[in-house]
Amino acid sequence: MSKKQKSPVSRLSSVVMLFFLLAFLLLASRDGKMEGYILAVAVPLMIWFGTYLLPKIVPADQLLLSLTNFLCALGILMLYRTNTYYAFHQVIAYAVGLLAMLFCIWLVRSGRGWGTMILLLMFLSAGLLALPVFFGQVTNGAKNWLALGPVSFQPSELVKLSLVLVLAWYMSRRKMLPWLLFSVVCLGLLMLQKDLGTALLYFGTALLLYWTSSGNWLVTGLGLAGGAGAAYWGYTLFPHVRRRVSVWLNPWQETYDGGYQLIQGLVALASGGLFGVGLGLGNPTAIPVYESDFMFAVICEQFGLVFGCCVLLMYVALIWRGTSVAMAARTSFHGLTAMGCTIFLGIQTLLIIGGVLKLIPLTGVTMPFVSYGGTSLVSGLCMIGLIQGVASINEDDLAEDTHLAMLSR
Amino acid sequence: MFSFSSEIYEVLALAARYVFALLGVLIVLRSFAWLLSSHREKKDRLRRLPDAGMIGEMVVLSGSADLPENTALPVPREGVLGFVRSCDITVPCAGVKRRHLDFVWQDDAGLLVHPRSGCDALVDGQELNVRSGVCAMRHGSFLQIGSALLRLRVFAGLDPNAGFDHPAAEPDPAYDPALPPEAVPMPGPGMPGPMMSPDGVPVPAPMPGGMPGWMPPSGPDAPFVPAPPEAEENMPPARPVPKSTGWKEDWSD
Repeated sequence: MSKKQKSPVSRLSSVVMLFFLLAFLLLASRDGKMEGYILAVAVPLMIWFGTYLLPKIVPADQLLLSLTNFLCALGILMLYRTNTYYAFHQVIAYAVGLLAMLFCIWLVRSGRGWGTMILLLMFLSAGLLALPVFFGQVTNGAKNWLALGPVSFQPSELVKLSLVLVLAWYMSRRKMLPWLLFSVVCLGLLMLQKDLGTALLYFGTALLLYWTSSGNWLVTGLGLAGGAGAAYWGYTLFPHVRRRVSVWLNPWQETYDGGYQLIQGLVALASGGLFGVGLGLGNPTAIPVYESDFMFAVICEQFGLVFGCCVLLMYVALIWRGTSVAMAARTSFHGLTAMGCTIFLGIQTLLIIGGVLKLIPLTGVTMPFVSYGGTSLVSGLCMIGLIQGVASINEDDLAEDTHLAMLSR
Repeated sequence: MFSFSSEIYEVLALAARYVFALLGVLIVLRSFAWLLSSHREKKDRLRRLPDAGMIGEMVVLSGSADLPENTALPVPREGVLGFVRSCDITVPCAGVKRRHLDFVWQDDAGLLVHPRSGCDALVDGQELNVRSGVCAMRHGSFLQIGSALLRLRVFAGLDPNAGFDHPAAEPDPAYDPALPPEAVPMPGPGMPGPMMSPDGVPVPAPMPGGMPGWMPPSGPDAPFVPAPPEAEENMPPARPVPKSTGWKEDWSD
């Protein structure tokens, strides 16, 4: 009798769960803290729940779930390695993010009256994004944080969901003015907050999504030229942008000032070598703002460049899957929604990893699903929820077509 | 809780580096194997269901050397019709712009077509341009763009008269072959217009129950003639019904 072949989901998830079980056990055995042993059980259990049980509650793409869960759990592991408080905060954000993802799946599957909702979203988002301009807190040069009592968050992280939905809706209806106006308002408000990294992210998403929906090279090229002009204008206008560019070109000129963070990141990458310094060894906390900007350097220091390349390939797989979901969608709104989320996550990954590797200037955006930050994680999982919703509709359509084809034979 | 001494931990962590690298590579390999297998599976499913996602086809009544007559062009639920290959429906004929018109199928309205700026079309004799707005096509409707004349065939299972107040089988009361084209009254709102050939000759409503295998004479000078009753016998077998997404989106919203 032939041995029963394992399904792809169990083949992948078993390795992922084993990886995190071993990693958390190893870290727990270093200092003997109870929390480490709890996480060694809890994180694989959450992966099991997120990959096996969740698709039983709501229809979802298991590969997307597996990839997302892996990246989220990797973030928790790296944060636990560097700062236990951050790790537990991230676990809570992950749980909230999973619920938000379920809501987004439901929203896409059963959403009605999108026209009114999109209009409402546009006004709410513009209002929300304007709040930090007046009441925001300055962090790392950008006035993009809002504090509501004990909770503080970045409105731009939540507005990115609205941006994707607004772009997808109006582009699918071939109405250029509303989405263009909304994008310009968002970009203007982000410029006022001096949050240029997020502005670049919004701009790149709008431009690429426009090209995807229209295939118009001329307008896309004009948009790109306009973006390059705006970047040059920002370079001449804002001193901190000039400083970032000069630090990027030669961080060794300002070893103990502006270039310190980048140099520490490069040192971490180099000291990790191919296989890393060993989990729990090394000194990743020497990198300033390691928890949000330089998580990739921390990963490479602990696990090495081989594993770093694996993480990059996981993002590639995520983007591939998102693109194929978008291309299989039967309505352009669904297709553009999935594509918009994929483009957003792709550009965000490119910006932060390119910045850490000194390929481009640092922009200060977070590494999707891995970096510390509740709002960032929840909004990233919401984007995955939107893609999941479209994927589940695609599956329903194809299943019904298959059923009808069987009936007609 | 249990913990190792720092020396033992260091040895363990150094050894575990290779295990983690191996597991990382294994995770990537299994992810890509899954991606590739699901990609292959999807291609196979689509090969088995060539009409998946399609609502019907446009039959070419008059085309060009690159688009011979009787060619059936599959019509997806929504997309763009134009000259270039990147369009969802490619019509390589003179007078057709690169991206000529947008279309979307709605279960309660039929196939809505909307020409892009600077493009015009005739739907059942009714002139259509970017100012005139959206026009609905139903099973059997004629579409003329440039030198191409196409006729919509909606797959079985979808309502061929979606959005129209009366079925296509009913003869148009306004139709009188003896009347000159300009004497044919224009349709009211929500009603299909009397069918007109590209030359302005009124044509009868399409055949009931689906478009038969019979094709009307085509060509620039060929008049439209009603299908003979026996044509119904040559009707192609019913196709699988492409599923409705259930989205009641308002195109003009």
